[in-house]
Amino acid sequence: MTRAATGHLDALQATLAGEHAAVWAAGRAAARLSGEARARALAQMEVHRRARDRLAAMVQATGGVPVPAAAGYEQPFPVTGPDSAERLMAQVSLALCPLYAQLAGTSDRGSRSWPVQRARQNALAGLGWGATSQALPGTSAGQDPSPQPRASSASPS
Amino acid sequence: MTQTPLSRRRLLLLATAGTLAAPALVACTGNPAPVPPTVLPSPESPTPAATYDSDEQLRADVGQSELDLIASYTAAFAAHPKLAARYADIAAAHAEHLKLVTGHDAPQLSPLPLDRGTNSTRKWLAGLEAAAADQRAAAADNANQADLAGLLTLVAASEAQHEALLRTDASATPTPTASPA
Repeated sequence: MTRAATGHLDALQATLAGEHAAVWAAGRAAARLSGEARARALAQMEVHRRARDRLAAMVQATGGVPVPAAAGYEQPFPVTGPDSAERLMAQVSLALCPLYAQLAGTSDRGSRSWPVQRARQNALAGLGWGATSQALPGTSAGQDPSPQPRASSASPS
Repeated sequence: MTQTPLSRRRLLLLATAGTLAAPALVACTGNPAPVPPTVLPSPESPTPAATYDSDEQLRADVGQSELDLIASYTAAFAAHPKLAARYADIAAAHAEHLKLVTGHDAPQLSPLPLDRGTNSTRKWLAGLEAAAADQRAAAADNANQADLAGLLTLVAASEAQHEALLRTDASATPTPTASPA
């Protein structure tokens, strides 16, 4: 595998790991939300699932083994009610933007529309959950950290 | 995770080192600084998506578009000072985009005249942002350098946020009803 292909596979895997975390976070947030906000979180969870599945297929097509979801994630901050749930949704959405930007960069010229579109979608989702607009979404200093896999394990599936 | 995603620090380092924005590159290619517009841009007549032979030309076009946006906000703030407090961060974001893409600082601009009401100005700016986001997305797809493609992806995402913010504000502001004739 060439260095460029390795870089692309790494970017695919990193973005896939980010989507796994986003699916987890959306479920966690939805449990603390109600009404329209809960419906929106669940709808976005489905979007993250579809993106996750697409990325896993892309990893396989590149000759890799898709990284699995972690068995559990460390919450970047306590999610105790609607406000922190919305903050978590904003955080995971924005955190995906630089991952998709990296993926766009490692993708072939002329084949970047999907990662660019996903970066835009996630930037808008972050804004919808109360984040402020950013010159480079997801890269600001002082931003909440992403949910991290618990040290113990990855899921067996 | 084996790949470090694009971080602000890395983008700034790349710009400083000349990999991305490259004042040195601009100097050696003779690429001039973007020229301030004499007429404000219109979203109804966006620049058509171009296919670029070189990243230098792509950077120059994106830089010109960012400067046009800065001139538009300068005009908007002069005509409607209350918009400045709300959208100063957006104008600052365009100055950062200009710097990262071309290596040039935004110049001090004299405001061009703007004959629009406040909410019409929001909608006009939203249209410009929408067109800019689409152009950046197309430019990201066209870039040769991976880091430039990544940077333009984030710029497109940022400008999509600007459009959404402006449209939300415009929708939340009641439009004055026309007086009966």
